[in-house]
Amino acid sequence: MFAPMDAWSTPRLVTVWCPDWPIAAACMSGAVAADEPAAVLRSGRVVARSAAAARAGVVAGQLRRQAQRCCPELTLVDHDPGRDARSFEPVVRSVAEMVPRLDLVEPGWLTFAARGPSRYFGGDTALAERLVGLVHELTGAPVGVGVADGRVTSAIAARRAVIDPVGARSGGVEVVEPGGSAGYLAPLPVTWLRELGDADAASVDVWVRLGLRTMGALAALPVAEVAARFGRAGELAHRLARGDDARPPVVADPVPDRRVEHTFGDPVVSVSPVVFVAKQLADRLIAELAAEGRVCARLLVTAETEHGERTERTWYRDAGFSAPAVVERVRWQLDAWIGQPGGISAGIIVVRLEPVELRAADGVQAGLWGGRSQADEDAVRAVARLSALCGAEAVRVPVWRGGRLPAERYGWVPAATADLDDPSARLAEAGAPWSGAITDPAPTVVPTEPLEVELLDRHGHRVSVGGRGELGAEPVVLAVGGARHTVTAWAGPWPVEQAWWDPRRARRIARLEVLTDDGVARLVGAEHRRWWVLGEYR
Amino acid sequence: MRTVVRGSLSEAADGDPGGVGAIIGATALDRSVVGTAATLVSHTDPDRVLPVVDPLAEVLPAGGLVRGQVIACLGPSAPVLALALLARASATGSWLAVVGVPWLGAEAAREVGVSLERTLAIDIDPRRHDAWAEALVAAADGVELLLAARDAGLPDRVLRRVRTRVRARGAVLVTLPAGAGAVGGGGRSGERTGDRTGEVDLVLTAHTDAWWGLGRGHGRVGGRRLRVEVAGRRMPRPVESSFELRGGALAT
Repeated sequence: MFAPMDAWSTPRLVTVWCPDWPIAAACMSGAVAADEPAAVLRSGRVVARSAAAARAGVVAGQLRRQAQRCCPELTLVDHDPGRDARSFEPVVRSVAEMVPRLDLVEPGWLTFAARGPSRYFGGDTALAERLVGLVHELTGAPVGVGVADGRVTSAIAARRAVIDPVGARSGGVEVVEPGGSAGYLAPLPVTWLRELGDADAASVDVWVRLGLRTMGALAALPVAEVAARFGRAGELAHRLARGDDARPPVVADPVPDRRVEHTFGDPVVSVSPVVFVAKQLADRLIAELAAEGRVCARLLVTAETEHGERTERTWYRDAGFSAPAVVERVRWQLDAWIGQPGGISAGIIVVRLEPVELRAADGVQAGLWGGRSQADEDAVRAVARLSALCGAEAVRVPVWRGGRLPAERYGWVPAATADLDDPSARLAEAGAPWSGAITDPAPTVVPTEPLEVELLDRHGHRVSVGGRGELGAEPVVLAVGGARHTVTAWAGPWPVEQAWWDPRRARRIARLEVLTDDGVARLVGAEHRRWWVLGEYR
Repeated sequence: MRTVVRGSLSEAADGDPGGVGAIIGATALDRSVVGTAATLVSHTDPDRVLPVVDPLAEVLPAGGLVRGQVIACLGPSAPVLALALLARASATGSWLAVVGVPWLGAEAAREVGVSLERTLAIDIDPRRHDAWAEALVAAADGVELLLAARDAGLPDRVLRRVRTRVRARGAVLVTLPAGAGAVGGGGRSGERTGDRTGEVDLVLTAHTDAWWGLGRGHGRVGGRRLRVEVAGRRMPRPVESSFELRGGALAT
């Protein structure tokens, strides 16, 4: 049969995909054990689950309650995009040694052009098997590798290679013959398009109700009718179902003058100033492109230190990057780079953004957050004004960090560098119990600087905490900055060990809840035989 | 559905659009006010009153936060009251700017219902009065809810300037004493000077009368009984109410 696609416009791609990557990352960081039933939650819903949890019936998209009903002994972990990025970094590095250029879609998902590497390693299958072995060795996580013409077919092949994480397979390979994409997709359910985020759920539901259950059925419709009925998005889905890419890449070489960079006069050792500069660069770049009616779909982000160390990553976003999305990628990349073992040995002197693939803006790039309300528009403008007035560092938005101490659980990042339209990643807390964290209620007052207090027993001696986390004496008086309050109730101590794997950052704190006769309850902590206020319930 | 009596005569008289005297909630109604009431509306007007959680609606004269209002929260439990006061409006789409209150617990805010997606904080020292006021004025231009730490020595003229803008923009300003946080020393609950002056519409004083869940050596901090006294420039006498706060939910 004649393939209805043009071989020029659909490059042959390799997709490496790790299912439930957030769980794999949590395993690698030690937050959960590999064989226990565990799930990662974002905004109260399961985004990833372990094989044991999958066997118990936990699926992505479930509410926390439903997941716990399926599996009462389920361990819940909060989603942490930074952890996902850091854990994936070794995979990116190793694959980057095999292939000249790769694109990161998100942590746990990367693609690259098959042509050169495949020839070098002795064919698509040999290359794919080599990748499976490599990733499995580095992460211990299940992985699927798909090789096919076209981005979407390749992505689906990678997913089908690990379609059944419940089974014994730890990963696999699926290779679709050149020119075989349409035939490969034809029997597959049309719901794959929803799965990959390439078609909206409502359209897919309509197709299923109309009896268009397979990709083949959708592809068989005349394109003009699909476009007339479902608009631009329907036309894109139709292309995908035919095994073609929705948005063929612009074949022209990247325009060199599009590159934007900043050189720091003084080397910078922390992430946040670099992210700030990247924000300015991204604003300028994306605005310039938008003025020409173009979006950047593939972006090369580079940073270098004074000693010549360098990080270089290509990020891919099918619908094109917004400026906040660029900034987020830069933050992920720098976090992973600086947070790697050994870190960097000198300050960062240059950061560079270089669009590698541009395409016409097709209007299908609305923010994930749905539209903005008038209040949102006003607030975004107010943020800009306030940042100019008070300094960009002074205007902040909360980010969920997670942790066991009140001061750690939420942080504040400059609003100018946050994606105000899509706060879900930054606030993906999900209300999941962080193991060992103090549960509700949270203190209304969290000291911004250490506040030392005295906790005394009835003889006026400081109350101590023993090696096994027991109180030396009953607390009777709490002295806060000159005021002495009588302790009327208390509970604890609950020990918490922080960062025990890192001797430089390791902390051991015993927490105690104390209520005094002034009607204020406090969370206090003992560290190095001194007591500190960790939070106040005011 | 609640009934609200609008005293439009006094409102017109001294140009206090949406001021506390304008709308008097039935529950907190004094008989003497009924006589001046000119119109009856069946529910609160969303363009003029931002919603608060139900138990607090019962004690606020307008059943909500009247746009343009300045509300001072005082007392040892002012922080939790301020958050509870702003929670419903924040959850229903208004943005909240927290000015000069770096010690405020974000998690506690979320727990009582504040939407952190629409919360921003401005790090500014409340003792720098002019910079503080400038930040509030700028924030009021785009943000409907303002929560600010107010320095005890803040001159009235500075607050007046902020208030003018808050009114012009239809925002709501809730203040906390700057010293309410742990770092500022103990809660100076007696700090009331200046808050009865003309620049504040309502004064809400909050105390925690009882804590549940914590024993002598056992338990966990659980819920609390919150006592709130509401006083206003045009309220004939303060109204006191008691609430239970458990797991972030306020109930009478």
